[in-house]
Amino acid sequence: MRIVWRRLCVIAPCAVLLGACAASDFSKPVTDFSDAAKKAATSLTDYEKTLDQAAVDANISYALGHPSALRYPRGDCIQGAKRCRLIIRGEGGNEINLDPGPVDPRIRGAMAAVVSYVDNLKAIVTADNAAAIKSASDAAAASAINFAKAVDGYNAQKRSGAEKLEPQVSALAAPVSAALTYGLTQYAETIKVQALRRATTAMNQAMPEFMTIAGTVADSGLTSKRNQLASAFDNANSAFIEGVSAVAAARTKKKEKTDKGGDDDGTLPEIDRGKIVAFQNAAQAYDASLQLNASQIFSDLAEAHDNLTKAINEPEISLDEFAAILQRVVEGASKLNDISKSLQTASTKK
Amino acid sequence: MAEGNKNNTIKSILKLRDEARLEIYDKARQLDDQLETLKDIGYSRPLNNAETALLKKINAAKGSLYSAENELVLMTVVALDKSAEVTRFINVVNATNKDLKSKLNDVGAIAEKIKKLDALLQKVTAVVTGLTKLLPLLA
Repeated sequence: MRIVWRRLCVIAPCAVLLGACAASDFSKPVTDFSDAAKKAATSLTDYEKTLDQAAVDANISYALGHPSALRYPRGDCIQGAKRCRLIIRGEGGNEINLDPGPVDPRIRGAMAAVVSYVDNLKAIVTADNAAAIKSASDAAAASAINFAKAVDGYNAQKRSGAEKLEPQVSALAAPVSAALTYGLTQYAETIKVQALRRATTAMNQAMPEFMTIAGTVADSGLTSKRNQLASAFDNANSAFIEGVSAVAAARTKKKEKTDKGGDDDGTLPEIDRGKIVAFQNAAQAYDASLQLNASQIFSDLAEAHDNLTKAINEPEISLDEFAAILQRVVEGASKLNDISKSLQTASTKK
Repeated sequence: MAEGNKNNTIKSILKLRDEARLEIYDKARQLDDQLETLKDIGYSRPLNNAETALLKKINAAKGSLYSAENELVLMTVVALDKSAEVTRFINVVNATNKDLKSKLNDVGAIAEKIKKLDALLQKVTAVVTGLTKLLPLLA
């Protein structure tokens, strides 16, 4: 009994039997999942932009080493031309655009389709069909009464002596309309809940694999950002070593001078404080990037979808548990966005 | 992998990436060992010209390793983008979206069907009313 009670408590407004659940009972978890998925998609876009730029940078680096490879296609960039594009011509004659465009167009399309999917789920759970059905049913009932009145008028004109239809129809119209509204609303809810179940079940099979892919894309973008910060750290490190070495040289020179009887002002050359601060700043920025796990929010999102699917199909999990996973996704995405901006700032300071 | 062979699976793509990454990280560690040795020298006495040149060379080599890793992750993403798994996922999500939209339309159509019934009743009512007006003329 306790188990049954726990299950029933999971989706609180969901009526006694699962089959009696309304799509709107899942409104909150679906809306929360939709918000979290959109935040994860925004994070992914940020990393994809980094990768796009990395691809352009790689081509520019190649062009630096092979300036003669940088060309424009014949017919481009001349008076009357329709395009002006720079290309890299490889040794084998193959050509690629200096700016190759999005590195993962299909993955982007797939993530956009995931956003459409959560929008569609949300549309199902928030669609208010009951109001439209009630309004249409009430109008049809009123029309039925008008029809009865018209028939009564016709019978009266014909002096047929037929019993009046209108009072009978009027008496039945309200309860029939209410029954029609109820029945059709239930039918609509059944269609919606079945659609939710079928959709989440189908997507749940494919979601973990795609989230692994999305996580890898995010991880790749982070690697690219991280390496910029690592490079900035190396430069600061070298500047510090050279600074220490220069101080050692200055001290040796001063010692030689005083040993030969020169004046000693009592001071010792010291390393520039700014070099230590720059070294520390570079280390901190690099450290922050090393502590990030870009792919985590995507595996969390796959787990959240699995829980959403279970909640819709067989409410076994607690919504508190589900909310905790979603909170992780949202916080992870916000953290990534914040740190991503600070990384951008730090890497431009180098 | 750079060409993004369509037969590559996520697993094989990530395995290749991880192996190549380990090689890069191993070389980075070797360079860092050399850097530490130079650092110890620099702290005890001024670096000579050869050592300063070596410091620059090590940094340049580290830079090349960053570029290599950047290129590696870029190629990994390009390969993943062309994988069969992405194709499969796109098919599933598109079919699911189509089904959800269709069901939403089906549900929306229920009220429309009642409205059609209402319109039919109104038409029949108009016909009966018309007939009622005609009756005195026919009598």
